[in-house]
Amino acid sequence: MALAACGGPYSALAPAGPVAANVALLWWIMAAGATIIFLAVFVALAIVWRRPALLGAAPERRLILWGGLALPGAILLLLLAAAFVLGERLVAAAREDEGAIEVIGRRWEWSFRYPGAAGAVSTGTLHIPAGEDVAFRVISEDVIHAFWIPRLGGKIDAIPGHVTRIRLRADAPGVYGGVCAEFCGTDHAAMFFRVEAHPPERYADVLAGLARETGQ
Amino acid sequence: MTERMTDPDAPPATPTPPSEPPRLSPIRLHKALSAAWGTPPGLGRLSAVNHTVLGKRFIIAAFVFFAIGGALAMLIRVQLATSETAFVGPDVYNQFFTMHGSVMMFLFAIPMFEGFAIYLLPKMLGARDMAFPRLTAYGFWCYVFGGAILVAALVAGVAPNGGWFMYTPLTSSTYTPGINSDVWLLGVTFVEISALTAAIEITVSVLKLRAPGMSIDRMPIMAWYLLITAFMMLFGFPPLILGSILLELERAADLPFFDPLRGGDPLLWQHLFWLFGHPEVYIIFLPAAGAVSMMIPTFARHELVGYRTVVVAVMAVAFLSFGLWVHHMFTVGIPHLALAFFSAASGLVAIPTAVQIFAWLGTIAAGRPRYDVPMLYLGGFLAVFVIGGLTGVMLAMVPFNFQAHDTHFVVAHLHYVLVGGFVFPMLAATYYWLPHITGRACERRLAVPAFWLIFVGFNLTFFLMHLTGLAGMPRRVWTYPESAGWDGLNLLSSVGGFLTAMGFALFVMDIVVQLRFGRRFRRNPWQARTLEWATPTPPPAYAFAALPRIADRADRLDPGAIGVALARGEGYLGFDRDGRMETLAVEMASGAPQQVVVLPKPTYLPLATGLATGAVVLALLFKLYLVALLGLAATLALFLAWTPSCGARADSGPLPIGMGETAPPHWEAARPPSWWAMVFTLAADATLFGSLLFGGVFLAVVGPAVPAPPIVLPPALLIGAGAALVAGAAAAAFAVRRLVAGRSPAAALLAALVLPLAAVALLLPVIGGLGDPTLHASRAVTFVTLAYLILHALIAALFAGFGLWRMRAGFLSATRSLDLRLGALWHGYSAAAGIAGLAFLCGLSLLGVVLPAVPGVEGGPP
Amino acid sequence: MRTRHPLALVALAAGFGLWLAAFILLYGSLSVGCRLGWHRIELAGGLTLQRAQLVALFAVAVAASGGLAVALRPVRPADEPAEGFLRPVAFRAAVAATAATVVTFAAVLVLTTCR
Ligand code: HEM
Ligand SMILES: [Cu+2]
Ligand SMILES: [Cu+2]
Repeated sequence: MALAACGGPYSALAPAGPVAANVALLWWIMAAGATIIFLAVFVALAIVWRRPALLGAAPERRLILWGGLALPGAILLLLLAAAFVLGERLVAAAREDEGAIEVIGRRWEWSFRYPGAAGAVSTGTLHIPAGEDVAFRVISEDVIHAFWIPRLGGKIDAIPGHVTRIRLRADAPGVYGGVCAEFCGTDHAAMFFRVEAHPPERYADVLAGLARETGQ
Repeated sequence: MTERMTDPDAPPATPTPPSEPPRLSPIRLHKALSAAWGTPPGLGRLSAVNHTVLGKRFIIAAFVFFAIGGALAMLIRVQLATSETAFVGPDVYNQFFTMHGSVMMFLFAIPMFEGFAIYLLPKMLGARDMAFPRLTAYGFWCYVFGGAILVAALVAGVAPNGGWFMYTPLTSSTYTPGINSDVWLLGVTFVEISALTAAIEITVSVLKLRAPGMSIDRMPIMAWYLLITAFMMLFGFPPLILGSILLELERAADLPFFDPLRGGDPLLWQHLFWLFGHPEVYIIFLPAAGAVSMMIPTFARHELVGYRTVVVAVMAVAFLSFGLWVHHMFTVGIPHLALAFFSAASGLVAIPTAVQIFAWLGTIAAGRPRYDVPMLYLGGFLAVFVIGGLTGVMLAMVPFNFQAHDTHFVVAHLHYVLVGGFVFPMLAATYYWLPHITGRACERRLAVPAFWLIFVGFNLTFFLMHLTGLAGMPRRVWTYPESAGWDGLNLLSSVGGFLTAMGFALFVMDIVVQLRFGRRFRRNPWQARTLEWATPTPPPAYAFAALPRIADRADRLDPGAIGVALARGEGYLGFDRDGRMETLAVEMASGAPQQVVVLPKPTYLPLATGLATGAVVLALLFKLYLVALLGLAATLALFLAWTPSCGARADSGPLPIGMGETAPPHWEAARPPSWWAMVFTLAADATLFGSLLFGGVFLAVVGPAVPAPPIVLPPALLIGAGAALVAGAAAAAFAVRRLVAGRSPAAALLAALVLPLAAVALLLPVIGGLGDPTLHASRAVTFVTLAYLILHALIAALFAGFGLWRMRAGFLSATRSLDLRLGALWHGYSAAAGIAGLAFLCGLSLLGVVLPAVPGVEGGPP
Repeated sequence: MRTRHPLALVALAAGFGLWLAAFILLYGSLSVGCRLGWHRIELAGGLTLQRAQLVALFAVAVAASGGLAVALRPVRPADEPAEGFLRPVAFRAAVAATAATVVTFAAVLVLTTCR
């Protein structure tokens, strides 16, 4: 059954880019750690119930100190450090607007405006070059939406009055699924979009084609 | 020497202390106290103010709402079972999940714990009732009427549909033009009145209404949990109430607090909501953890280990939970460093939680554990809650959150925490305390299969849902394409959901069976060592025939022996004094008896006041503003009608309280419960005001930079109004001094009445000269700030007028100055808020000049 | 009847109260700093005004919290039960709050301050 989550066009556990891959790795590490901690709590429960003698005399202080403070504290510090390092790459890197694709959320579709490509715009399908970082500037025309391509990496909200930014990369050319993650009303469930990652050498042609279509 | 000021007919003050009422035989004592404390039968039940009665009503009502929320959950699971199900469309589905979440959070979880607290707290503390029984009743009616409005909207098909956190602009009038959002904003705020009254009651009752000798270090651990939870409610609910008021004002009067085109910001709503919403989760969990901390020692046959450590841990959870609200907003584009603060705080909260879990394990290790039905459910609690905590730490990690946020992973997590951290402990608590309510012992036959159905069904539903979320399924979708590959997991989740529902049905059957066929017992069936088991079971209205003197920690007692002695009237107040309802108030820390608290008799006033309040809410809902104003006046008048039965027209001096000791009645004491209630009310009020000021600064500093029209604030008027408020507060304080010195406070009271009105007269032209408040958020904030100050000045004047009325009616004397001191507190707060608010407004208009000159707007539109 | 200082009870909340104050202060000045562009004002050697003020606030918060813990340290076993309870509990809370202050805000030393 776990396999069901690992496949599929929208699975965060089938990463197709470095951000999603890092987060998926973080997930697997945390999942393994959580399993161990969960089992440890129940082993502790079995021991205190059946064989408290195993813990020596007056075990309660040690239980609270180790189980409550020391172990969770140490694990937490490690985890936080890892998350901060990863977060710097994910959140903090997405700063410049130079060359960013503008993502426009509106009820209930996504439009994409490409920089420097003679006003190329697409709706419902996002075209990106594969193998390189792509910056996005995300805005909304009405309510709050959230721009999310699970196989490439984290989501970012589209908020009226704000510009939010994210940076993603698809390792290989292909088609990926995108969804609106923030509830936005009646057709929220239908606000999917398609992501086409093109080989970099063909990307300019794709945009030029788009610009022609838009121009018409 | 006391000078009588008015009312020559009042009997003169008694110079000698009255003697103790005669001792009665246990049976006659029971009869006399029952007559004094009982609730009338028939329709008279609507006048109940007794905590045992109201606690049960809260629990039953909350369970009914749980059933409604559960039915909605089943409908949700039917709809999501496969990608093909076309059971309902999106418009109905959106109402389903919004109502499911709102009902579960506001109409089930919070009131359920309030019910347990109201029923148990006085009995655990050795008091005869909560501090403000009529307020309990009023809170109950507000809760039931508010809940009824929400459910009626669901039946009528106009229920809220913006999700339980109601994000704007989706819930604004532009995108939700119907009354759906208004139902939520007004209905939930109505229900929150009951949360605030409960918070004030619990705080004051724990701090003051304990058995003599129960110093603060001897309180049963649940009292600590409830005290800390109640404080959290005092500071957690006001931001939500403020947010609801602002959003309703935006919807009804077009004040643009959240409209980015006019200087508002949708993120302000998110901050206000989650500033409440996260603490809310712990407000739900902590009382349940308190119940766990009561049950584990009983079944471990050992007192809770690490009592002090647990107190520190609970306090840590309480504070930390106010510093992690942004973990619900990680993806709104906030700088990484700010995310890191919230991420670290969110992770940290796991540590005090782990401390509590290991204190429970340590208690088991130190004792001789015994298995019984509540322990089975507590095992379920431990398993489910630990998983919820672990996924919570995962979600606190920013990069992972960016993937999992707003997916069914979060839905799974929140149910592991809420069902694990609240429902399982409450099921255990039901089996544990039901015998106390019914006087019948617990049977195991159905309880065990019910547990396994609920436990297996729950995990089937929600464990798999983590995977559904990671497979990319967003939350709040009414359907999904087959190509997404989410069918299998969803179908299994739905099957699990129905198993859970069957388990709950079995649980209900079991409760009915226990009510009818449970074996009767005399006292303390679990051999617990806390005071609530010292009452007769089922408990009489007065709870204890006499109040015990506590000489040890309150989880080391022998309820059997204590109960027998108390029933004989051995202890404090073990007599009937003229049919009065009396209990004791103690010094907060030491537990030394301080006051005789005389409680009010059953009355229909709370019901009437609740109905009037409900009329206000309904009138606002249907935009009948004149009717709303009338309803408000009626509500106010009814509240004033509560007061004639408070206090006395003659000085009584210290009364004998038994055990050879005496204490004055509470209205002659320096710090009676109502004085503390006023302090805590003002603390909550100040939090609301602080949230408003925060909102103003937030919009000015980080909100969308839309040029604001100028705001004209005539300095002379502002300074004059501030001065009038301060002078009014001084006059109110002076009135107290006069009264206590034995002189007439009339002139000072008159000044305290007129000065706030003068402030209002000065502030009205300021509001009038403001110009159209719908033009820009900064104007709207200014408008609301001024309105807040005017409202407080008006109430201050009302308090002064009330003081004059009480003086004329003969309720005041040098020893009976409570009414004036309450008013002086309000006056003082109004003046302080006035100074802060006016300074804030000046600062705000300054910011409006300074900030636009600064380049480099972060987060603003291009 | 003796009425003891109600501040003894308030001391319970002092440690984490400071933590909360530090939280509001740091989060607030972080937002204001980003708004005013302090992260673009370099003081020396790559240190921006924004980071300098945040680190200074962080240091003050840790010092205040630690100082409070020292001030609340148990003196000698008090004779009165409530007294012998409130002070040690307040002390432990202050120690825990100091640790929480360090963990919550240590990120000011390294992470990107503004977008
Ligand atoms: C067996 C019982 C339950 C089942 C099967 C169930 C099922 C669900 C499902 C499937 C959703 C997601 C709806 C969606 O996103 O489309 C949901 C949302 C929610 N549930 Fe439950 N639930 C149960 C019990 C509870 C309880 C006991 C609580 C609280 C104490 C609760 C609180 C919530 C909340 C707050 C939401 C979020 C609503 C929103 O997104 O606005 N649920 N529930
Ligand atoms: Cu959406
Ligand atoms: Cu939260």
